[in-house]
Amino acid sequence: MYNLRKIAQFLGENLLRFFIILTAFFLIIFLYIIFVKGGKVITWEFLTAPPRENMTAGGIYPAIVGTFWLTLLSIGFALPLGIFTAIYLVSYARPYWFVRLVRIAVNTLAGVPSIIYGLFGMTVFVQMLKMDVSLLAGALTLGILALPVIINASEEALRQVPHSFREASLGLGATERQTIMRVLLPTALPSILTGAIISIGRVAGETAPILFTAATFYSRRLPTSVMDEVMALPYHIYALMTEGAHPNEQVPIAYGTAVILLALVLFVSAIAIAIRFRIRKNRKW
Amino acid sequence: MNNYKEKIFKGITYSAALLTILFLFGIIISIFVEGAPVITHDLGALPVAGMPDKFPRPWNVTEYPSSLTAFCEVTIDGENASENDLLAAFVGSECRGIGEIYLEDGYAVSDMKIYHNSSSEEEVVNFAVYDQINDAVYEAAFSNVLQSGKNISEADYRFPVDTFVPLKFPRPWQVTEYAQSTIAWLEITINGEKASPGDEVGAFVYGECRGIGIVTNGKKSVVKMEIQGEEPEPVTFALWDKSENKIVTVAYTTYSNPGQVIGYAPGKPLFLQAFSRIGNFIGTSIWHPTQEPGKFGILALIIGSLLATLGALIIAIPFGIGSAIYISEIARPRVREIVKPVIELLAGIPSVVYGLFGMAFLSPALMKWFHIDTGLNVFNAAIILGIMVIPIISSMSEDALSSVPKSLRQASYGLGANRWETITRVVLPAAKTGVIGSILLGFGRAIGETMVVIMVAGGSPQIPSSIFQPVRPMTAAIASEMGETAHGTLHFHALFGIAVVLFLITFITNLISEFAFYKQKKY
Repeated sequence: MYNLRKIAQFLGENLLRFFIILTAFFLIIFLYIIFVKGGKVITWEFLTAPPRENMTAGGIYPAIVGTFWLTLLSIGFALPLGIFTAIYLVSYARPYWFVRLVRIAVNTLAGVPSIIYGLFGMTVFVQMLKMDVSLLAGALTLGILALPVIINASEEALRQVPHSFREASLGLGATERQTIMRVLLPTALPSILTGAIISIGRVAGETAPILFTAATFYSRRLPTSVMDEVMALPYHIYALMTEGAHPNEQVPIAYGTAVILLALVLFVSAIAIAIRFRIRKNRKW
Repeated sequence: MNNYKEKIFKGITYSAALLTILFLFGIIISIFVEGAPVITHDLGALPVAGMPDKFPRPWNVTEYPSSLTAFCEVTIDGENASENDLLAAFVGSECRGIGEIYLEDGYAVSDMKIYHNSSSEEEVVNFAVYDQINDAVYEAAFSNVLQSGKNISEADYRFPVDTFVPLKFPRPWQVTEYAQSTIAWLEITINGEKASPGDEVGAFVYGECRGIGIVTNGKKSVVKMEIQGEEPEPVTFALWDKSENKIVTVAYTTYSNPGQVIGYAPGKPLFLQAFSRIGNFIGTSIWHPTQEPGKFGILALIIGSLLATLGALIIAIPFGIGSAIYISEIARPRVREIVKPVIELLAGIPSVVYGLFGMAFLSPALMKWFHIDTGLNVFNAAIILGIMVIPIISSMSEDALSSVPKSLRQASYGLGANRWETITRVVLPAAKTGVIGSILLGFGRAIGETMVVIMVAGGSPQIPSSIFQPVRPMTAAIASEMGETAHGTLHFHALFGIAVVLFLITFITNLISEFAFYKQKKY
C-alpha cells in the first residue's frame, strides 16, 4: 500500500515534469528555427531598403515603418479612451446598470475573434466612413482591438492605489477631478503604461484586423498621410507565404521578417514585464 | 468655475465608457446586418414580373416645329425587314417619326422625318420596328442623338437600324420531362399588377419548355410549378396573358436547383422560412460560393474549425495544465519567478509567426514523416494551434491553482497525504472551475484564430475523412474569400453570416468561462 502511493507520486510528478520539459522543448525548437532561419537574411540592407524584384530581394523597411505607425496611432487612439473608461469604472461607476453594461462590453470585446474586428473595420471605417483601405482605418480597428486590454490593465492599476491616498486628497479639499488627475493617475501610471506596452506587442503582431482595412502587399514608398495604404510586418509574412511566384526566395525573407517582428514583440513585452517587476518590488504601500 | 470643469471631466469619462459599449454594439450590428441577407434574401415567392411592350402600338407622331431627316437600313436579327413593316423613332416614350420600309437594291430601307424639340439641345432617340407579319414590335439596342440642324444620315449613307427579336416562346408549350425537378413558388405580376386567373407561366431552359404553371384565383396570384431538369440551369420565364392572348416578356431569370424548393409558399410564415434558411446555412456542407447558383452550407467549415480546435485542445490541455501544476505546486519559487513571465511572453507571440512555422517547417516535415501528399491539414493546424494555446491555458490555470490557499494543502499533508495526493485530491478539485475556465478561454482563442488556420489548414471546404486531410475553418474562409468577393453579393453576406456564427460560438464560450471564473471559490 505504502509502495503503491509512492509509485503513484513518483509517476505522477515525473509525468508533470515530462509535460513541462516537452512544452519548453516545443517552444525552444520553434523559436530556434525561426531565429536561425531568419537570422541568415538579416543585414543592414534588409532593415533599411524597400523590397525589390517582385519581393524576392531587398528589405522590409516600408513594413517596419507601417507597423510602427499602425501601432503608434492605434495605441494613441485606444490609450486615452481606455484610461478614461477605467476612471469611470473606478471613480464614478454610476448608475449600476451602466457599469454592468460597460463590463459586459469590455469582457465580450476581449473575446471577439480578431477577424471580426477586421470585418467591423471594413464595413464601418473603410466603407461607411469612406476612409478606404488606409493607415487610419487600420489603426482605428487595431485600437478597438487593444481597448479591452488597456481598460482592464488601467482599471486594475487604479484599483491598486490605496483608498487612503484618495481619502487624504479629498480630505485636503481637492475635488474628485483633482484627486484623479493629481493623485490616482500619477500613482497608477507605471502600471497603466505596462498594460499599454503589453497591448503594443499584441497590436503589432495582429494580421487579421488589417487584412481588409490597412494592409497592402507591396509598396515601395512610405506612407505620406494617414489615408495611405501601408505595408505591415505581420501581413508581409502572410503575403510572402501565400502570394507571389517565387517561394524559394520569398520564404527566407518571411523568416527574416518574422525574426524582426518577434524581436520587436518580445522586446516590448519584456520591457513591460520588467517594469511591472520593478513596480511590485519598489511599491511602498 | 471649478464645478464646470468637474462636470466636463465627468462627462468625458462617461463618454469614453459609452464609446466602449458602442464599439461592441457596432461590431455586433455590423456583422448581423451584413450577414442577415444570406437568410432574408428573396424570402417569399420568386417575383416573376411580366413587361408589356415598351413602345405599344398604335404609334402617334408628336410634331414639333423643327425636324431632321434619317435614312436608315433596317434589319431584324441581322435579316432584312420585310416591305410594309414600319420604323419608328422615339424620344422617351414619345413617338417622333414613322417611316415605311421599302426594298431598294436588295436592302430594306426607310427614309423618315424625325421631329426635334429644339428647346432641349440634345435628345436621345431610340428606334423600334413593327413587324406586320408577326404583329410584333422589336426594339433596336442602340440609340442616337438629335441635335438641331444636324441630320442623322443622308441618302448616300444609310444609318443601320438593327432590331433584335426578344426571346419568343410560341404557344402551345410542351413540357420536356426529366428524371428530376425543382419545385418553384412564383409570384406573377404583369405590368406591376397581379396576373389574372387562367394566365399561364412557362419555365424555359435554353428555349426548351421545362414546366407550366397556371395562375389560380387567390390573393397574390402565386403559382407553384415543377421545373424539370437534372442539373442547376438558368431558367427564363414567359407569361401568357389569357385575356389578350399575348405572350409578355419577362426580364427575370433564376437558377433551378433539382430536388430542392426555390421560393417559398405564400402561406408559410416568414420566420419559419427564415428558420429553414438558417438550417440550410449551418446544417448543410456544400460550400460553392462562386458557382451560379451559389451554395452556402457552412457545416464543413464549422466542422473544420471544431476539429482543428479540439485537436489543439487535446494537445494543449495536458501540456498546459500539466506545466501549470508543475509551476504552481512542484517547482521551487525561484524557478517559478522566471518561468511565469516567460510563459506570459510566449502568449504574446504573433500568430502569423506560428503560421509561418507550420507552413514552412512543419508541413514538409509531416509530409516526410507520414508519407502524405500535403502537410497542410487538420493535424498540422491542431499541432500549431495547440502550441499556441499552451501558454494561455497554462498561465490562467496557474493563477487558479495558486489562488488555492496554503491552509488547504497543509491540512492535506497533516492528514498524511503525500504531495501527489494533495495535488490530485485537494488542489485540483479546489481550483476546478478556474481550470475549466482556462480551457474554455483557450478554446475561444483557438477557434477565433485566423492566421494559423488560413496558412496551415489547407483550405479545402470539405468534411475530412482523416486527420491528414485539409479543411477550411470558418475564420480562414472569411479571411481568404473576403478579398475576392464583390461588396453586396450573396457570397459577401454569407461570409458575414459565418462571422455571426463564429461570434455566437465565442460569445457563448466566453459567457461560460466568465461564469466559471466567477464561480471559482475566492479563499
